[in-house]
Amino acid sequence: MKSTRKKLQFNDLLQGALFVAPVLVFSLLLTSCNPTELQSAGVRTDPNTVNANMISKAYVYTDDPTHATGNKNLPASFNIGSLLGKTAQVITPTSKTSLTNDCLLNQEQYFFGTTSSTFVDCLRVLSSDSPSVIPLQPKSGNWNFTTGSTEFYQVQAMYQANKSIERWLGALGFIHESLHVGGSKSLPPALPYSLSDMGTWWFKYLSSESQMTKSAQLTVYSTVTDDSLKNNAYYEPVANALRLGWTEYPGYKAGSAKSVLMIQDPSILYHEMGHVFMTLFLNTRNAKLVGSTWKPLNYQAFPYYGFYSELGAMGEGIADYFAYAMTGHTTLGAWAFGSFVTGQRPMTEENSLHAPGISSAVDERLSYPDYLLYEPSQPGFPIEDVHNGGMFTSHYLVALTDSLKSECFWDQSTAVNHVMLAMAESFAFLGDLTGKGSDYNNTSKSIVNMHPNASYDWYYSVRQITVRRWAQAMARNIYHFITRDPAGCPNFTKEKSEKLLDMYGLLLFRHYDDNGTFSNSSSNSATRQDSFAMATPLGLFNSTVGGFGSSMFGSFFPEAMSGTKATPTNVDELNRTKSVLVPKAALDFKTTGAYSTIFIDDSQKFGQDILSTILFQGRVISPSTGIAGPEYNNSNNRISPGEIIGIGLDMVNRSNVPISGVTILATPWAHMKVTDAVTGKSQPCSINGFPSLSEGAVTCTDADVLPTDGARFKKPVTGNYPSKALHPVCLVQTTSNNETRWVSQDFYRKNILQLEDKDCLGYGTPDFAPAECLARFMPGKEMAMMAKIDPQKSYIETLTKAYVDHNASVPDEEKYSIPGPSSSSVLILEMNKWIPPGTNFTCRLRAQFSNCSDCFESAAGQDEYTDIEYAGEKPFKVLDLSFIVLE
Amino acid sequence: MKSRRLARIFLIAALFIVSYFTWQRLKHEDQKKTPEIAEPHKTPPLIPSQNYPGPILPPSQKGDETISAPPLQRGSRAFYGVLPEGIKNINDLPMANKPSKEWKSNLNQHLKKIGGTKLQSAEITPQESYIIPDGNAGRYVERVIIRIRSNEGEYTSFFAEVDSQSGYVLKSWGAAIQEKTRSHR
Repeated sequence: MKSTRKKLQFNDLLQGALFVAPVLVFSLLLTSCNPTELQSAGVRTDPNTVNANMISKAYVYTDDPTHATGNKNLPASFNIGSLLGKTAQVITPTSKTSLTNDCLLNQEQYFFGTTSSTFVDCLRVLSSDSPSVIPLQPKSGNWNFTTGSTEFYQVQAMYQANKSIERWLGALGFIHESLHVGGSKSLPPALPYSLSDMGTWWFKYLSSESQMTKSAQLTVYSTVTDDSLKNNAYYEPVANALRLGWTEYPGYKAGSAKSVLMIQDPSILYHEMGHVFMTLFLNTRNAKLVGSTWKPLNYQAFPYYGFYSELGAMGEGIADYFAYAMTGHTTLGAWAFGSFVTGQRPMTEENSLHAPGISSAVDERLSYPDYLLYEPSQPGFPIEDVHNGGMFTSHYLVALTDSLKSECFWDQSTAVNHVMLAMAESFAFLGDLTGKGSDYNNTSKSIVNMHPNASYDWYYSVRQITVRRWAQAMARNIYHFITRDPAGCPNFTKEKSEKLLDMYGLLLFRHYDDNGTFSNSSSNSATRQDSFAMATPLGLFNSTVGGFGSSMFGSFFPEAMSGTKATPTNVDELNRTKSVLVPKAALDFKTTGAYSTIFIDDSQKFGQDILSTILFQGRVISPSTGIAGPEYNNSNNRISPGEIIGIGLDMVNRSNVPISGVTILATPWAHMKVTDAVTGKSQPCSINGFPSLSEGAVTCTDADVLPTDGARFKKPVTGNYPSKALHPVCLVQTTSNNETRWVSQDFYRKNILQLEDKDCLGYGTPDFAPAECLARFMPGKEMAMMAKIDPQKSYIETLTKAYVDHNASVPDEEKYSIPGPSSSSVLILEMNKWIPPGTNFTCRLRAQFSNCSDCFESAAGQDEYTDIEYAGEKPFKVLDLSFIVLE
Repeated sequence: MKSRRLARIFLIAALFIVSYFTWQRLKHEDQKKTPEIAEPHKTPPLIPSQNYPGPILPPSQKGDETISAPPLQRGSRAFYGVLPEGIKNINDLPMANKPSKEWKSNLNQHLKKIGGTKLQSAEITPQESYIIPDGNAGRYVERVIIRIRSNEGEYTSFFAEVDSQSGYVLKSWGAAIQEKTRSHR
């Protein structure tokens, strides 16, 4: 009793103190305020004299030259000093002796009020990563340096980066409070409650424990002028660093001044910080409690797969939006990417950079998938690139912000905070590699990313974050955490949200998937198990959501406590006018013969080049030693023994609307039934009639083949093969006594070719699977992506037709080079040198696309396919790619 | 005696509930205010807030052996993931490989081979040695950072999970996100 009372009294005192302290501090600041301004004629106080009013401050520019002057034709030699503000700004705390800053998160705790966590020196700025560079120190107590010097730009970078971090952490504190403490919620949040203790609000997770402190520091390299940073800036996760480069202006020659720098354009730094913040959102749940310490997982979820992907494209659009949230400008890179090179990006339809025909009218928005290949500077010529492909995202998010401002009477900052809330929730859930999905999941089962042992595979290949998944998550979180929350904005109704999504072509789903079906549950309506419905009474009582002792589920899921199913929130189909869904049958081979559908490169040069190309995308390919290699490549455009071949599938779209976000997986999946776990003997399941039962297939059910832990069918180290597993994709044909059968490669190599393990592809590696002894899609490049396929065209035609038509009608000097398919659309196939010519293979690939009407549930009104069902064929179109090996 | 005890319990509960709802109401009133951005350097660091009392009714962090099992330890290496069925003790887990000092030089050679003439340099920085599940066994692995640079000045870096014996790359993630623009206007 006494201690309870003391706690309550303490709490009151604490809250009172928290209220009074800022007021006192603010009053003190006001009374001592004496802004330091530029002297007349731009002469400042003597830099060598300590000026008390300038301590830890500097003059900064807050806008890029183009926006600040309104002039789009400034010279490369523009004097950035002319943009410096007249009031010096705080750059670091006075205690800092080098250019670093701290990060502070104020987090509301249930019942106990605000707590603060700080990462000391979370941010530092250096001019470059040259070993000779030393941290900058203040000069006479302030941070003013000669305009245009590297020191000057370091200080500008610190000001901009710190400002964006403060803005983001302010939003994160708001998000945490909204989800866990204030308001009334109808869905368990994914963002963890113990964010502060977990340390995942900053980079505690990024590295192993021993390097945690070091890695928690984000470094901005403000002026990197080597060739890798020409017309470039990037976020480098492994170094936890941003590198800002330089722009090659017309007339630039090697050795001349690199006068146009990315750091001169704050939107570039804010965009890169956007990648940082999105990475943090994705990983907020990726730590585990060991004893009383939170430790990072061995993998993390990053917003990029190394080449074109829908997540990568959305990541660019979201990073653009972060820049908009900081600057308020609806053009990214107007100076650094706009004045001298092609690369600036608009973020609203009213932006003058856009081509005619794009406007804020309902049916003229920059919608998905129509504008996935759109480049404003050359609108007639398609480009497959994540930066162009992500523009629909920034346009939608800016439009959402505007809608929240007008519908909810919020100011810009409040509206942005709510958009951030929806994104934080979406990514915290989709990037959760623990599988738990929410602190409020009191069960022992995963609800996202399949299973802890398979979450890497599901996140990075099998079930990537696509436009559809992201849009659905956004709709879900807007509905539950903004529309339905009395402290949110009930006026931004579900209908308004859905109509806005639809304007951007993003209403790609039939329901909100807000019943939290377990990863291992079937989606079948009779047997389905939903996590939120299955929460225990204790879990509900312990819930802080909706207030002490209340049941957040009781109001939303009326049958929650009595059954195993909950009813997900359905989309109002009347709101779907622009988002067109296409049946998977529309995605097809170009013709029925594989060789006319696939484009092959089997030159020796390709064999070597593709390995290094993929390496520079962050993937390491390991060809089998002595069994296959580029030296066997013979440039005959056929698949021959021993070759390493690039396989591109020139898929066609048989429908009258675009197909988008096409993913083709050659990763292992559950299409074989194990008949003898000791020897690993297995038979192909008959899928869509192939193979037929008379050709050696068997009938399979989900219960026969789907592994609950995503296990792969590899040679076991000890014991038996797994009875249910993901099998390699290629089958081989065998003929005897006029009987044709399709069998596993393991069966064929043992019984027909009499090959030993050592003669198999992948032998001696941890990935060795005898069932891909002869032909295998190489780990690291067993997934292909295509941004868009136009109606009644093939993928290649979609990318090239405009260029071909143009070139046919202009003189040589006006011709464009025709873009080839990007490396993201290519799979790499490795063939065993011992395969006899004439051998027939069929590889069962799986394809899916984002605007598919029948890929995500068995029928309208049914629940969505679950994670485990993504191990099978239901969510995909199975592509039987048949080929014969030729000499 | 009994009624006095009941009254005391009732009083505690009432005090608790009233305090809670008062506090909640105050919170709701503040809800529509735009949150102020913190001034980090004005607050003394509390790294992290370990001394702060935890929430009285926190969301579940326990009771979840399958998906929230903390990393087990075998020697100096943590085990990440879920143990194979039937294995109760991490020390009983059969291992698929044996750690070798050769893994790093093997990996370096492999990077040079696949990087070909394009590759100028490859740098491998070990991060953590640990164990992952591999079917019904375990596998010793290393998490490393790989940094590569081409002769044309191209650069990237990424994380990789590497077999502790052979240096074979099992997984990779976290490649740099480049903004590179295409050309002059």
